[in-house]
Amino acid sequence: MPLSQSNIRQAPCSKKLCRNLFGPVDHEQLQSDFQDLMRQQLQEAQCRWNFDFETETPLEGNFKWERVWCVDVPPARMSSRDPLGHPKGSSSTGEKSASPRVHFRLCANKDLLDLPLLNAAAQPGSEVGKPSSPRSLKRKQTSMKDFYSSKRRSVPCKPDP
Amino acid sequence: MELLCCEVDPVRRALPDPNLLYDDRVLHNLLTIEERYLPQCSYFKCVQKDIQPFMRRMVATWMLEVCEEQKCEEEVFPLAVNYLDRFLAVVPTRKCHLQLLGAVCMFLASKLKETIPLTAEKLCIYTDNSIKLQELLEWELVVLGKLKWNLAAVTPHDFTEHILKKLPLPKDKLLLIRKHAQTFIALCATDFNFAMYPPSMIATGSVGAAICGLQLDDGESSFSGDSLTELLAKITSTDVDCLKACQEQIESVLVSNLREQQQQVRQQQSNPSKTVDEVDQASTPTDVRDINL
Repeated sequence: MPLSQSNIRQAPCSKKLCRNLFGPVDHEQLQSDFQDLMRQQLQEAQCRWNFDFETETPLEGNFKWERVWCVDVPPARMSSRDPLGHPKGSSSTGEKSASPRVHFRLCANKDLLDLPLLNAAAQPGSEVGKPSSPRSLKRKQTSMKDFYSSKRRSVPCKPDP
Repeated sequence: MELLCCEVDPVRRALPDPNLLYDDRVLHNLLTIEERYLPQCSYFKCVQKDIQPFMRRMVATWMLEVCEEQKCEEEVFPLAVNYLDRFLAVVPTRKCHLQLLGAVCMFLASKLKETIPLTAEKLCIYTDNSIKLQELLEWELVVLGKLKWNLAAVTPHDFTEHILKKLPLPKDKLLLIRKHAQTFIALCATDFNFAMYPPSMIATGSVGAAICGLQLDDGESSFSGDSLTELLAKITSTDVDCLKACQEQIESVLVSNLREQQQQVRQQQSNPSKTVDEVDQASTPTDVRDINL
């Protein structure tokens, strides 16, 4: 028998551990809490980047956005979810759409920003590309840009399996 | 015909890197940044209305048991609890959603730390299917946002090797000391009283408690109780009194856990109709049962 990855993590879930700790889950409440929190995060991201991520339109503010038409972005970097996290396709694991789409690029500090970063909508915590403080990037332990650029090197154009 | 042994640990892992472990700058940097990853406040007082400390303990214990059963890397559990605490410190959460949150945190921590992470399906099964796969994936996004995608938190495990390497320990005892220290770290993560302590202090206290527990501290003059604590405190620049208090707290948590354990065993003996499985739901991490102080 070959040692394949399918052998791993087959530890079965023992019955005594499969338990519901706090009674029935209110799924409707859960969904509405989820919507609220996502809306809140989207709102924060919108204020932070002066960009409406739902309609993908720039707003007035500190950043200046510039439209780019882009067909060469690796499909894996395309978001397959709408801003509230619902998958657009039927597959819940997130099938990647490869259709060309419009991107916006931050004009200030272009060199600090990658397109994929802008496409990954709600990241209000990231300090990358704040025009007023380019130096802060150096002191950061990690930045989203580090993550994406290294990711791109290792898997250039392949969509996730 | 070639024989294959399929019981080899199939997970590929990196060897310990001396460039990381023998460089004090790494330890220094860890000490500098660790506070950034602590929860913002003691959330039972100021954020949560529906959730009580004992519920956190319940969910954390369940998480530990899942991680143990799935043989997760040691850091996965403390890291997941770190996510849980940081989320609860900013988002008021309903009791009935707490287990979902625990599952999401394990999902994220496992993905960050493991070669073969826990699957979402498995985590749903562990909640007795009280949460749906889609919910787990949706809340993953919420948690990520609230943690500002800052997942590479410093945990006590980041310090243990640095501490152990600086102590004059007998080589044959090192494995056992490390194992006990790891168990203490897990124990601390189940207890909210340790949630606001810097990871370096938990690591130092856990190593200290492990050494004392194995009674390696007597006999050798350089290793008697107080001098050990002083040495430990120096390594992580912790205040000696704080460290002593922390170590004592760890030991008392262990004692109370063991007592609970014994009670459950006694209950089982007086009530033989209960199955062994039910008793095994004990909140004590399995490894702790092997430790004697």
